Amino acid sequence: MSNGQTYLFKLYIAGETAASSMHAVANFQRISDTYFPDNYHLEVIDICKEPERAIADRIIATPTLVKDFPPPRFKIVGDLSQRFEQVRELFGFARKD
Amino acid sequence: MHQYQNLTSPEKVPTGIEGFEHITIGGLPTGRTCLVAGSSGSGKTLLAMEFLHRGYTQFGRKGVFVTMEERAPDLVRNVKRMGWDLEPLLAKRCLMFIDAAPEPVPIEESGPYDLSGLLVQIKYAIQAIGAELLVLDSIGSLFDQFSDNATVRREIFRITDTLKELGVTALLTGERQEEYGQISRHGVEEFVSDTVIILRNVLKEEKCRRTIQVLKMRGDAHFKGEYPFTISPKVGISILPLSARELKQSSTSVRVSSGNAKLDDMAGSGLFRDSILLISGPTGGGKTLLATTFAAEACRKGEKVLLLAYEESRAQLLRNAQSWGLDFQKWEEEGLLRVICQYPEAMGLEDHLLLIQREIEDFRPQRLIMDSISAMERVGPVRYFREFVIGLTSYAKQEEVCSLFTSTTPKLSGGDSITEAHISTITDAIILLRYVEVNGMLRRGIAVIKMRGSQHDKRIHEFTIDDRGLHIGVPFTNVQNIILGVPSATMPTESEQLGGIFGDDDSTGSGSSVAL
Repeated sequence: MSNGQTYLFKLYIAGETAASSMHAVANFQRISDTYFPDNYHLEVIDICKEPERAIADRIIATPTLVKDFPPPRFKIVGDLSQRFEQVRELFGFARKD
Repeated sequence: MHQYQNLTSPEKVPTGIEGFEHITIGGLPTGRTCLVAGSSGSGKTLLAMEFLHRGYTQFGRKGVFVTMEERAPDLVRNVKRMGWDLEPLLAKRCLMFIDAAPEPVPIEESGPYDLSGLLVQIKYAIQAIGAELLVLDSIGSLFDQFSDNATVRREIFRITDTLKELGVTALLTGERQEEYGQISRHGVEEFVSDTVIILRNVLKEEKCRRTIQVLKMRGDAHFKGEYPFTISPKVGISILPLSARELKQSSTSVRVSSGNAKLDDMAGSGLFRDSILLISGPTGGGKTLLATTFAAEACRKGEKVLLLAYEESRAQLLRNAQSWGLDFQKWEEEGLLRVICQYPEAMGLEDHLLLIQREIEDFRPQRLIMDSISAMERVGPVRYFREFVIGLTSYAKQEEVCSLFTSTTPKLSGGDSITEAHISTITDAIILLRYVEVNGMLRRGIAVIKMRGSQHDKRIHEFTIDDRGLHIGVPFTNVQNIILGVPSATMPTESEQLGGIFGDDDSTGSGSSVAL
C-alpha cells in the first residue's frame, strides 16, 4: 500500500491529559507502527484549546480520528482500542509483515 | 435553611410566538431547559427556529442553533420561505449554527468515546456571541449517530447540566413515535427538561389539526390542555388560546340598530354594541336579508362592516343586495364594507379563525356578519367547531365588534341544528325565523328567544318579505307550538269570536291579531 504518498491524519482530543486522549494517541501509534510507519503525518488537536476547529471539522465525539488524505475521507470515533480488524479494513491496509 | 430563602420562582423569557406567552403564562422559564416533543412534521423545528428568530428580532437575545438532523444551509433556506431572513443575523453574529447533522463520510466506532466535541462547540458558540438562547434540534438523533446508548444518555445529561451552568434558556426538540403515548422516543429527553411541550398533528375527519400542549412546567403555573395552532408565512406559529381566554370583556349598554325598527323594538330597543346575535332559520327564511339589512344600517351610519359569506358568491351577494335597493359595491368602494367570500372547506377551522382575526385587526370593523356559521359545521368535528365559535365570539367581543351570525336549520319548520345546540349559550341574542303552516298556508314567524341583559318581546310575530325588505307584523295568537314546527289551533277567545261574527273581515288590518 505504501506507494510514496503521505497519509494525513488529524486526531481530535478533549484535553491532552485526559485518559481517553492518551489512549487514543498511544493506540494510533500502535496502528501506524504496524501498518504505515514511514509515510504519515498526524496532527493532534486539543479542542479545549481550539474549539473553532471542532466547529470547522464538525467534531461531536472525542477522541475522533480523521483521515484527510488520500480520499476517501473518513472518521473513526473512539480511542481506537477495539474492532481492530475493522479499523484496518477501513484504513485500507493489508497487514505488513 | 437560608440558602433556600432567596429562591424565587423562575422568571420567564418571552418567545414572541403568537399565543405562546398566554398558554405558558409568560414564556419559557429563564435559564432552564424545555423539551418540545412531537411526531415528525409536527412543527418542532419551526417552533425552535421562530424562538431564536423572534428572540433576537423582538427581544435582542442572541441564540445558538445546534442542528443534528438537517444541514444548516437547508434550514436557512426553509425558513426563508416562511419570510424570515437569517442571513443578516448570521452575518452580525446574533445567531450561530452548530452543524452536528450526520455527515456523508463514513464514521466508524472503535473504543470508548464521549461527546465532549459537541459540548465544547456549544460552550464556545455561546460564549463567542454572548448567546442567551439555545436550540438543540433534535437531541434524540444523537442516538442514531452513535451506537453506544449508555454514553449518549450520560452525555445528554452532561450537556443539559452545562447549559444550566451557562444560564442559557434552552429548547430541545424530541421525536415522538405516536401522537398519544410515550413522550419521547428515547425516554431521556423529558428527564433533562424542566418544561415539556407537546406538538401534535392529528388527522381527524380528513382534516389535519395541529395542537400544542404544555405537559409540565416545573415549579410554575401554565395552562393545561391542547390548543390548536396554525403555521402561516410571515407570521409563523399562531396559537389560538381558545378556552384560555377570559370572560373579561367589558359589557356595554350602548345599543345599535339591527336596521329593522320593529325588530329593534322586539329586542327591547336595539342590540348591544358588543353582543353576538344568532339568527336561526330554515333555508330561504330571511336570514340573509336580515344580515343584509344589518350591514346596510351600519354603512348608512358610517360604520365599517366585515361580511363573511360562506354560502354565496360575491356576485350573488351584491345582486341580492341590489334587489333590496342596497348598493354594496358603493359602500365597498367607500371603504365601509369588506366582503369576503370563501368555501368553508377551503381550509381548516383554525385557519378560518385566524383569517377572520387578521381581517378584524386589519379592517377594524364595528360590525361583523357571518353568513352562515352553520356552514362551518361541515369543516370539522363538532368539538373543533365549538372551539372555533368560542374563539371567534370571544375575539369579536374583545374587539367590541357587534356580530351577527346566521344559522341554517336542517328542517323547514322548527328543529335545531348542531350550531344552535353548541353556540346558543355563547351568543347574547337569538332570533328565530320559522315557517308556520296555518290553514294550509305557509306563513313566516319571527321571535326573539333570548336577549341577554334586556327585556324583549316574548311573542311570535308574523313577518313578510317583499322587494322592500322584511316587514314584521302582529303577533300570532291562537297558534301553539310554532317554534317546534307543528302549530296547532287553540280555541279563539269569546271576544274574538264575537268580533268575527260582527265585524270586519279584514283580518290583517292594523291592531288585530293573526288567528286561525
